[in-house]
Amino acid sequence: MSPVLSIALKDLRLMLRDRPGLLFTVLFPLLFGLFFGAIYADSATGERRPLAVALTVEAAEDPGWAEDFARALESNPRLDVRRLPDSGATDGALRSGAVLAELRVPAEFGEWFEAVGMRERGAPVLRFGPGALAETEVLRGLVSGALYETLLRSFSERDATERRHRALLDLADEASTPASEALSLRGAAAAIQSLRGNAEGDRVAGLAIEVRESSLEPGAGRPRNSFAITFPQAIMWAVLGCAATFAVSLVGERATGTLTRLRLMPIRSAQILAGKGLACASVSFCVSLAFVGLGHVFFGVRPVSYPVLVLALVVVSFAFAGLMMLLAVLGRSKTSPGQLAWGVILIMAITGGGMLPLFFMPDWLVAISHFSPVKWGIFAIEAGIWREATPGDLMLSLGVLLTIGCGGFVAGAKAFVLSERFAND
Amino acid sequence: MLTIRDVHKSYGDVQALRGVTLECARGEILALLGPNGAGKSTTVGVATGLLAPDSGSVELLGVGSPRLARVRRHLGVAPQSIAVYEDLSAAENLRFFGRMYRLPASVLRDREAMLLDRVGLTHRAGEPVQHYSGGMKRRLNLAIALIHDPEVVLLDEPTAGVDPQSRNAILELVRELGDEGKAVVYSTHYMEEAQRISDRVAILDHGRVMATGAVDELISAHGGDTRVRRDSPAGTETVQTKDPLPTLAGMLAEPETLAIHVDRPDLEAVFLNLTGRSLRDT
Repeated sequence: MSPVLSIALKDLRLMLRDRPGLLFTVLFPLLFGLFFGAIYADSATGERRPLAVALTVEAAEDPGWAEDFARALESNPRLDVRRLPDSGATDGALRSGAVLAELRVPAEFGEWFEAVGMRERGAPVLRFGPGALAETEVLRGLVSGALYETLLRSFSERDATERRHRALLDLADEASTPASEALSLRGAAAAIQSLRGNAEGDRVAGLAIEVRESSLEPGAGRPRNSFAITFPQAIMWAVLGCAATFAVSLVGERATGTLTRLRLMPIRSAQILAGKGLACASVSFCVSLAFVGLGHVFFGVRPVSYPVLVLALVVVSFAFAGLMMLLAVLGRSKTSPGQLAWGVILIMAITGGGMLPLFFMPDWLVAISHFSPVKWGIFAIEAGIWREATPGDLMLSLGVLLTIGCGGFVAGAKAFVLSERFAND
Repeated sequence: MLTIRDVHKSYGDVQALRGVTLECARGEILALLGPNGAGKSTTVGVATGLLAPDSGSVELLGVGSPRLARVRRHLGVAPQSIAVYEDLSAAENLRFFGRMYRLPASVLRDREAMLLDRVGLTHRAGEPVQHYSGGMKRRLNLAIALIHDPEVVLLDEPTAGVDPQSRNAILELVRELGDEGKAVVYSTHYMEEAQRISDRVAILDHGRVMATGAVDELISAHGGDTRVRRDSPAGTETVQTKDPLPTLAGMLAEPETLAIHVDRPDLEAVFLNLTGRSLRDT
């Protein structure tokens, strides 16, 4: 057996016996993938928890429109409408976050609604709680949608349209109404009069306003589910964990004297490093493959291209093994390279999409991420799992990674020889 | 087998070795003695090829410098620190380091079994080294140096911090190595060890070889006089002489002799006479 292979096998054996090390190379990345996969699950699949809203409908002589509006709200699966007796009761629920907002429908809602919002009083009031920071726009849209839906339906009722027509004309005739506004109101009344003639069943011809939606099929350049987003990150963390573990092990060998012992044997320094690099790359690749298998079997992570994925994993493993060699020999003291390795790796992970997925990043962080090997690693892995990368994009990321790997190995070998000479002399 | 000729080595302004010349022949055990900072470790470093001398030469087996990989193949080194993998067993450590010398599997198996037996670790060979005592680790450290059956063995304080039984086992093994025809260079602080196992002793100080020779030769040349003391009812009489036998005979012939004490100089006396009594690490 060649010395390089022997060193690699020895390192593999040592790594398997190093349980704290396995925490960083297997357990932590796996937990990362599962934890964030579960958190992102809603946003990736479109399934969301309904937003809780307290609804207060004030008593009115004719609650018809208010009840119609309430039903429109309640029929929306995106909303969890909870009827509460009065605004006072909702304060506690708002403060505790049990509901995100309160929607109060005033007693004058019916008149306001029939006048198509032309009256001062009667508009529904939406009051947000302190926990609704991210959802305010969504809630506003959902309430407006329900109101619009109720309004649209109201046009199909001849009596209601007649009442609305009359209400607008009465409003125009009021002495307090300015002349320009009265003119608008008469125009609106005429339009409603014409709509009355077009009513068919519960729909009114000419008012079929709707937004048509479509989306790309999962797999066609989109992650199939949230785990497809977090598993590339988890794989990257596993690779980083391997790189750091091996960097620290090289430092450990220097501290215990086994590295000196190896240098007393008839092998070259480059062979020692190559053995360690081979072990690091092999472990990284095997752990990555295991993650892919786990994702496939249990979490629905179906790679769009296995050849691309395997190629990406090979190159990523090689690149970070090379980087490990460089990191392991930097630093002045015997222990500082290990600390340095972890520090550099964490910065690379934070800026390269190891924590926050690349497509969630703000533009300035995306610009910085180009300098992180982690970004290119995740991009290459994503290309195999879900991203439809062009051959040019893929070649670019693989090329960057190969350059990093080769550069790390060459620079690490040179620095290693120099540092050993310095240490002994 | 190992020849160090006029080697100079400096670390910045500090001259660690100032023309060290030593030789260790086949079957010879050469003990390297010296106070802290005398240059022992640097001498061992140069002899192993880890350090390059500023001038002078080191030659192994007459074929070249130990800095060459093909020459290092004939050299076995037990470093001062216990350089073993604690998470591996003794057998795994021996096997791994044996593979670095590309030993054939069958040879490696035989050497492994033989060395485990010689250092008394056969029954614990499969246990991780981290569970071993200090003495067991030292013995393994020595066994690894011998896995490839080297012709020249360099041992840097191989008994540091071990119990008397382990020390005895290590010293016996070193003596056997000499008997097998290996050239053994043995760096130590312990005079009694050097006196017990070495064929020759080299005393280093201030980067120079102060004296070399067999223990008796060194004692004769640098040990000073033997003290012969006679106790009698009249009192105590002390005589210092290079040749104690005539004095001893004369004292025995004296009537009313109660006791006679002979204090012969030993290697420690030689060491202190050559290197002085002042502390070196203050």
